[in-house]
Amino acid sequence: MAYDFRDAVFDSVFQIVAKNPRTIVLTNDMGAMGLSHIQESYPRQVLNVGISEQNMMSVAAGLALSGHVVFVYGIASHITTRCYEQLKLDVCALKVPVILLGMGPGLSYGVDGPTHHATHDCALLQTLSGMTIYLPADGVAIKALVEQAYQSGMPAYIRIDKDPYEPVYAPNEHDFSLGLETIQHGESLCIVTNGIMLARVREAARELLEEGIEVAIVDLYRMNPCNESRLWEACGKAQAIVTVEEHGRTGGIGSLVGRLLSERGHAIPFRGLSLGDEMLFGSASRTWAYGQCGLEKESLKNTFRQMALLPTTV
Amino acid sequence: MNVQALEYKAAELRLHILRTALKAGKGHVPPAFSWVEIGVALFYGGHLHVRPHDPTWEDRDRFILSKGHGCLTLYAILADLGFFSKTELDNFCAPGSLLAGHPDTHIPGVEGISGSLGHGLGVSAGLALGAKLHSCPWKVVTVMGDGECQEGSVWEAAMFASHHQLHNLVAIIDRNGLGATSYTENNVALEPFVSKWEAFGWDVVYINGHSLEELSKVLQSIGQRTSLKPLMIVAQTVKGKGVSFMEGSVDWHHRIPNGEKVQEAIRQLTDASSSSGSAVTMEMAHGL
Repeated sequence: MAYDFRDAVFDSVFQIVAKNPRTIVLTNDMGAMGLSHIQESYPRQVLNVGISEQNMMSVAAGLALSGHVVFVYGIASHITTRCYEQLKLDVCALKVPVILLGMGPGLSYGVDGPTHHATHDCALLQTLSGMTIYLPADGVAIKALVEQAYQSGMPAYIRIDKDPYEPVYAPNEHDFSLGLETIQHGESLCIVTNGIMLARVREAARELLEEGIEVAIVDLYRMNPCNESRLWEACGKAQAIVTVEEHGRTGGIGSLVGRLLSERGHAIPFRGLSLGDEMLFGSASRTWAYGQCGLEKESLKNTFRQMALLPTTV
Repeated sequence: MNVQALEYKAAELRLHILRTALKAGKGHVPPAFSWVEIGVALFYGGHLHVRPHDPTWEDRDRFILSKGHGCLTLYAILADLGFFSKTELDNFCAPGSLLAGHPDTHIPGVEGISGSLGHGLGVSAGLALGAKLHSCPWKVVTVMGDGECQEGSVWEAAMFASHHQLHNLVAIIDRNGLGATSYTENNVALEPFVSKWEAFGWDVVYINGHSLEELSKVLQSIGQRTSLKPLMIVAQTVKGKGVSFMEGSVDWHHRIPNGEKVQEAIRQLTDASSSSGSAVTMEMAHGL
C-alpha cells in the first residue's frame, strides 16, 4: 500500500501547530489538503504570503525573531534557490527556527521542466551554516524528522516527495537522532542512499538477492550535518560503495561519501549514481531521466552486481 | 533631548564617524552622514525604546538598519549610548574585531544582518506581524536606502506590510538620491517615489531628513496614529551631508579622504559642531 508524504508531514505539523500557538506555517501560494486542514482549524497560524519567496524567507526570519517557530511550505526548487540569500543572511546567519518543507524535490516535477527541478537544492543548502537537511524515505521518518527539526530551534530543510512511499520503518523502531540507519546488511557492497531512491534501491537489491548477491543498504536520511562516524561504521568495512541519489552529482551524498573515503585514505571501489550536473530540458519524467542517468532498476542492478562481484584486491 | 541638543549630538557623531573611518582607512562615510539626523532623532529623541545595558530586553522597539553600508552612524550611536565600548570604534574593520564594514547580529543592539540590500523591510515586516499577532507593545523601525528600493524584494515586502495592516511598522528612507556610482534617477528612476509607496498601501510622509524639528515632529506623531497602514517616512537628505566636497557627489560612496581633504573635512565638521555649541567636538577633532 502506498502513502502520501504530504499527509505525513502535515499530520505532524498539525500536532505542533495545535500545541504551540506561536507556530506559523507560511506558503508561497502552494496548496495541500493537509495544509487546508490546519488552516481550517487554526486560521491565524497559516499564512499565504503570495508568490514572493524572497520576502517569505525574510518574513519567516522576522516572525522567528519575534518568538515563533515557522514552517515554510512550497515547491522545493522555489523555496531554496530563488531565495538563497535570504536563507543565508536572514535565516541561517541568525540561527532562527525556520523549517523549510520542500515539496517535490529532485524530479518530482520532472515533466514540468527545469524551472521545477530541485536537483541541486541539497548542494546549495549544505553550504549554509546551521542548516540541517533531511531526506526522509517514509512517513515514520518524516514525522520523526519534523518533530526533530521543530525541537532543534534551528533552520532545517525537509525534502518531501510528491510520489507516494511504501513504509520502511515501524513506528518507534528507530532513533532518528542518529542521522542514518542500516536498512539491510551485506558483506561485499554497501549502498548509501536516501529519500525516494531508497525504495528503488531496495527493489533492485531484492531481485539481486534472488541471484545470491546480498548488499548492505544505508538510509542517510540526515545528510547535513552528516553523522560521519556512524556512516563510517556502517560502510567502512565494505569492499565497495555505491551512492544512489536523485540529486545532481555535485554536492550530494556521492560527494559526501567520496570525501569521507578520501579523508580516511580508504581506497576501495566507489561509484556515485546521480542525475549528473547537466540541466535536464524538456519533459524530464522520472522514468525517462532514470533511464538517461543509470538510475532505473536494471541499471541499478547491473551497477550493484558489478560492484559487488569485483575481486577483493584491497 | 530638545532639538538644539539633538543638533549638537548630530555634529558630534559626524566627527566620531569620520574619525572611525580615517583610523581604519575604510568605510562608507557619505552614506553614514546622510542619515545622522534620522539616527539621532530616533535614538536620542526618545522615539526608540531600547536599553543599552539590556539590548535584548523583550519589550524593546526593534530597529533594523537595512542600508547596512551606513553602519558607521549606527556604530557611533550604539557606542555613544553604551551598547558596547567606544574603544570598539577604534578597531573598526581591524582583523577579528567586532565592527565590520557592514553590521551583523554579534554586535549588541544590531537586530539583523544587512549590507546586501533589500532584506531589512521583509525582516521588519515579519517582526511587526509577530508583534501584532500577540499584541506586543513594541514597534519596528527600519532605515532603508533609496537605491535599495531598486531591489524587487523591497516591493514584495511593501505589499505584504500593507496587506497585513502592519501599523506597528515604520520605515524611513534616506532619500539622498545617490546609489554607489550614480544618481538613482539616472540608473533606474524611483520617482514618483512618494506616490509609489502610497500606491502600495502605505501612509507616506515626506520631510527634510536633516531637520531634527521635522523628524522629531513626525516621530512624535507615531504614538497617536490610528491608521492601520504601515508608515513610510521619505526623508530627503544629502549624501555626505556636512562635508561640502562629499555632498551629493558620485565620487565618495566608499572613498576615504586623505591629505588636505582630511583637514578640510575636519575643519568643516568642527566649525559646524562649534557653531552648534558642542564643546566635546573640538577635543575630538584634535584627536583626528
